[in-house]
Amino acid sequence: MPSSEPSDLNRSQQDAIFDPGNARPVTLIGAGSVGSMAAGWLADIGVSDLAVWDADDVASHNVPMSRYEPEQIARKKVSALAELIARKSGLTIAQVPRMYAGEPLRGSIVACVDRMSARQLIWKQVRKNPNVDILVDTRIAAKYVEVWAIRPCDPDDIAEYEKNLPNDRDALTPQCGIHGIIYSTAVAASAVCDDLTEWWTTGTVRRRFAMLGLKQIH
Amino acid sequence: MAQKRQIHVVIVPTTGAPVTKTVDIARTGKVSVEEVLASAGVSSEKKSLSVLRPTSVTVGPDDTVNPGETITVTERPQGS
Repeated sequence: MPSSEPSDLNRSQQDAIFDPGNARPVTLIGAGSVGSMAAGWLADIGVSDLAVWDADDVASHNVPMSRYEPEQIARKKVSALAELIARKSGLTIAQVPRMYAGEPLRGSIVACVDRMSARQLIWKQVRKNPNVDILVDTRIAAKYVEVWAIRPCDPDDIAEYEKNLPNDRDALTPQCGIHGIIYSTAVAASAVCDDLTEWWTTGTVRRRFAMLGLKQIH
Repeated sequence: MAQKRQIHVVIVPTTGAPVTKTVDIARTGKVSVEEVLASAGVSSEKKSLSVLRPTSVTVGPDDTVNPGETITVTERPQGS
């Protein structure tokens, strides 16, 4: 079970930017490059209720573009991530070592998956779900990053998001060599944290954030 | 002097830098996104298309655009 209080890191240099007391429960689906970084940073800023879903083991190619360490290769990603997060922030995350298959969702949802079909599955549970306050969906290809922040009951958000939820075959397939690189995927993880904290604190959303390298795309 | 009837197309790759093409519109009235992209020599396959109005709005090939607007063409990434 996740701990109920923010971990006891000294956040005195940042607590006027984000008060951990404003954090809501987060379910993060997909603990790869973006997901592992986002989960770690959410724990760092004081999210105290964090569940992470992923069925995969840490592979050698994951290490240079994620939070994982070389000695964690072949371990379940959620277990390796739980260890890293507990070591730094003291937070115990809820580990779900299986692929998301359409289970009910509540709270703030972060999708860091590798297929549009997985996003469609999550969206089926999120769309018009009053128990989900926000869906943040990250997408990367090489140095291009796109992050969507969607209010599940907002008609404009729903319409815009559904125009951008194609089938797998109508989107770029992640390819070896150009899947992503850590300093670009870190931008996506950073957007996850910014989108969630802005939403929790001010109630505003950016809806779509896109960057190529460090150039913002409109 | 009449303002030139142009539509800009920004093509965003997954590495490198965006490329901007400008399409001159000969006739009056709105033109379809598909028509503009064809004139710019850009395929919409596996691409997201958007226009700033004033925030980014997703458009499809059959939607219309106005002179002076900019269509942004991005890949549809699905990795994470």
